Amino acid sequence: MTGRDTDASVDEDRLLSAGESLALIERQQQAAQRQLGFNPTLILGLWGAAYLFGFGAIFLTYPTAVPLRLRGAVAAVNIGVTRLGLPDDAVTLLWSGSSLLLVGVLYLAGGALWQDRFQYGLGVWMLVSGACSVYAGVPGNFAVVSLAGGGGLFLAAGYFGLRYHRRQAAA
Amino acid sequence: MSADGSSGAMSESVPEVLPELDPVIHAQARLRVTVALAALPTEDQITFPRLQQLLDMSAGNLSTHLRRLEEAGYVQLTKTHQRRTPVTYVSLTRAGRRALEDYTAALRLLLIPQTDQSVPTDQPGG
Repeated sequence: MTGRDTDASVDEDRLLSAGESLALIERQQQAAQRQLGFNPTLILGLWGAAYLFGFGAIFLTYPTAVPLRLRGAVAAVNIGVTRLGLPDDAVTLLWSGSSLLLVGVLYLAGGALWQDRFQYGLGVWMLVSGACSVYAGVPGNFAVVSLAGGGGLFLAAGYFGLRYHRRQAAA
Repeated sequence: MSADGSSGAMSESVPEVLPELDPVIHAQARLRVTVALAALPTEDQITFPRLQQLLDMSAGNLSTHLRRLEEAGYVQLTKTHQRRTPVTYVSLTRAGRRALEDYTAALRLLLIPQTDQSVPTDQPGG
């Protein structure tokens, strides 16, 4: 009962007891999850870099560069509000703030859905960052989104990478 | 040594219906295949070589067991081509997932000591 059940094992056809079967199920589940696990480090890191460099570049070159970002429903709402005649600075704040707001809500939902406290926390962080960016005014908002938003995603990338490797080692 | 805990023999005749274990799954290799496939999200497929690698089984052995599982309707094999190379995808069917759940439940039931079976008598006609 000690050796790994490899392909060539002779006793493969031997019927297992109920306890042995349950143990086998658990072992195989862990092995499968370990091998099928997904490491989100890269994708979170890329998003972090996009935030950091994208918004960072806008902050550094402001007001030469004008942010043009389209994101579905948020874009529609923002364009609608803009048409009512909002001051330019307010429009800029609306764009950067609502982007982070949307991302934050998505991570909140993900965290709730997968019962993942860290992901939920990341959502809260993005929401807070979004709110802070608005209060920072233009062009400080871009710095906040770049550093707090991008930084939060980098932190998440690091955390999930660490967690992934720990699970790999544990299972 | 509680008084009621040791009186298993005098309890009203417990129906000796030990759950039957699904013979298709109740074999080490096929159990491992089923559990590995159940670890995938529902409806997801895995390629044959990847499954083989995951289970550390020979191709011949794995395909034998997969055929048996397919016959039982627990596994779906999809053969297709990617740039002229034949690829086989394997996935657990709904029936397969259900069978594994039933099997696991049956195992748990088997492991419950007879004296601890405090099953509520909600069956009609007792």
